[in-house]
Amino acid sequence: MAISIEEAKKILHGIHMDLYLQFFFYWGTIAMGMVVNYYYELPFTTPSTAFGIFNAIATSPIIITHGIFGVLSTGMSIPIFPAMRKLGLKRSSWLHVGAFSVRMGGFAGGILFLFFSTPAINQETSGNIASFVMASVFMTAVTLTFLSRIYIYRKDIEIEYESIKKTSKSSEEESKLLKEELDKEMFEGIKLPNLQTILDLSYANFVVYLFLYFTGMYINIWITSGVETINISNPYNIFHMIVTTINFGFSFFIMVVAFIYGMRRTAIFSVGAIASIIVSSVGGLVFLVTGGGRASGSLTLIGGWVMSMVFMLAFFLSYYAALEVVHAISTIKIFGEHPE
Amino acid sequence: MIQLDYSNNQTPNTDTDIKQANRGRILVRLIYLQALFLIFAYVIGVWQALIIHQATIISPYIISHAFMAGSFAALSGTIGLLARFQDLKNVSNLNLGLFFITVFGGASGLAYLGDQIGTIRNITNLSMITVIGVGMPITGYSLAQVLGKINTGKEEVAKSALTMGYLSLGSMSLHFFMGVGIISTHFYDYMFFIHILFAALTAALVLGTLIFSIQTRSKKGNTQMGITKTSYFLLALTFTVASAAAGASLLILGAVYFIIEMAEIAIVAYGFTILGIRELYRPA
Repeated sequence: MAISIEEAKKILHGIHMDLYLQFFFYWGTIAMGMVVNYYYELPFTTPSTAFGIFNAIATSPIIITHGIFGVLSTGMSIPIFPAMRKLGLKRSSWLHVGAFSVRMGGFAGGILFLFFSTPAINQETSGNIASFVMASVFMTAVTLTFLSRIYIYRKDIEIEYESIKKTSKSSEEESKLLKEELDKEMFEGIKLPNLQTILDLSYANFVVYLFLYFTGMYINIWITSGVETINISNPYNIFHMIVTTINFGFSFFIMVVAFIYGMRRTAIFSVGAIASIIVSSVGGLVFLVTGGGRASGSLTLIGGWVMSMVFMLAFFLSYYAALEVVHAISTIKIFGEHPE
Repeated sequence: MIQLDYSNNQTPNTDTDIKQANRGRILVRLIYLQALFLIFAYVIGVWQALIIHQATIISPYIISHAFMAGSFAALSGTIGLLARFQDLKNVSNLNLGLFFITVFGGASGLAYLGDQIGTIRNITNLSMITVIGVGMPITGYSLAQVLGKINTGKEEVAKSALTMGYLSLGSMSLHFFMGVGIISTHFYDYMFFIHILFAALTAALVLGTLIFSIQTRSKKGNTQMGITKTSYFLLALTFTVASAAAGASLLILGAVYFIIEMAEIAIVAYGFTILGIRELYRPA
């Protein structure tokens, strides 16, 4: 490594801060996006011109806020590129390039959605496609950012390892420090294959979250168009609810195992995720039982908004829980097998 | 994997042993809880199906039933994962399978809430009783396997009583399934016949378990634990017979009340069989 360990640590700290901010902005994007989804109506007089659409965006505070969060979350990848390249994190920087690029498609999708919704054009199918593209690329970007963080965590541990090696005055001190670091991650004797099982389950849960997100978006865009009502017996709704159950189950398993094996941070994040899934499900039920449509009243809309916003919180909390497991596995692999 | 024995007269030696022992205890408690949720989900489900009839997503019966069934599912998966960490592969696979079957049962329940027509109602009844039927022997087997693992090295377990206990749980689950089949399929006559057959078989097997546990007790000496062990199986037998009596009353008197009585009493027999299995692993 061309840079010193101290400098590398400083850069990594900066990257972590940027990523926390990026996830906050991601969350803001979805929260405001769902406000737009449930409450916004394009003025009937909007012309289907670039200026008309710009004017519609500029005169609506909720669309502006949604857009600002979108720009900020996308923009947070920019300062991360050079920092990552300095640390030699090529894969992570490419993943951020990917996240940044797909978000451009998201902006295009958002503007096209408004364009196809204008009274002069009024093409519902094209509008739905544009809206679905916007929602899909958002989740793709979040996923790519998540993957990038796995490599960042590994780098973090490598630097910690090198730091201990360089600062230790004797081999005894080095062994002691390495063991101390390792003990922090050993989680009261849990074995590496079992940690790997928890990580695999976290990845499976991640896939379940994706299913949940895409079925939710599909229902919202293609079945209700954010306006029509949906019945509980709708097959897509039933599938969505089943996936929620599996999502709850997987998060619950991870939480219990984390508690029993003393994986404190994973347990805390998982508790947060579980609480969020419960709140989100209650929001979804309120949305369903109070009418399930935009015209059903304010309680329905609040239920729907809470469901969407808190779902994203659950997703991020589960993601941080998984990262703690990644951290533990990487530490054990880099620092060596812990003596039983 | 460290084999542990934390019975009353032996204590774990190291920190790791204590932690392992505690995890074993946690798993056992989770299985009790799983069995308890199975019982409550069944009891409320039967009440809903036979008394309430109309199902809506905001009905307190449906919410309670969903909570019990959801907790049962969550516990099944958790037990599956924890059992894998303790090298109990069969227990792990069975419980993870049970989790997915329960999710399927829940899916049919959701479909029923949306569309309460005959076919969906029948599918829901059958899929939910399948979950109960599959869950009963799995909880019994899991409990026995986990207790067997954490008590390794202790005195011999009454294997014949245990096998008989497994068989009675299996027979009980088929008996339940056929019972629901009577009202939910077109094979009324066959289901009725097989239902009665499994009722008799269950009673015989619970009696067999009781006799074997008494025989084991008399070999090892008359202790408080031995009495508790036989008491649980005796109670299981009593409730099985009481359930059969309610069934006979239903045939003679024809009151709906007896169907509920028959169904709700039968599940108590399952609860006592589970407690009896636990006692088989306690020192006599």
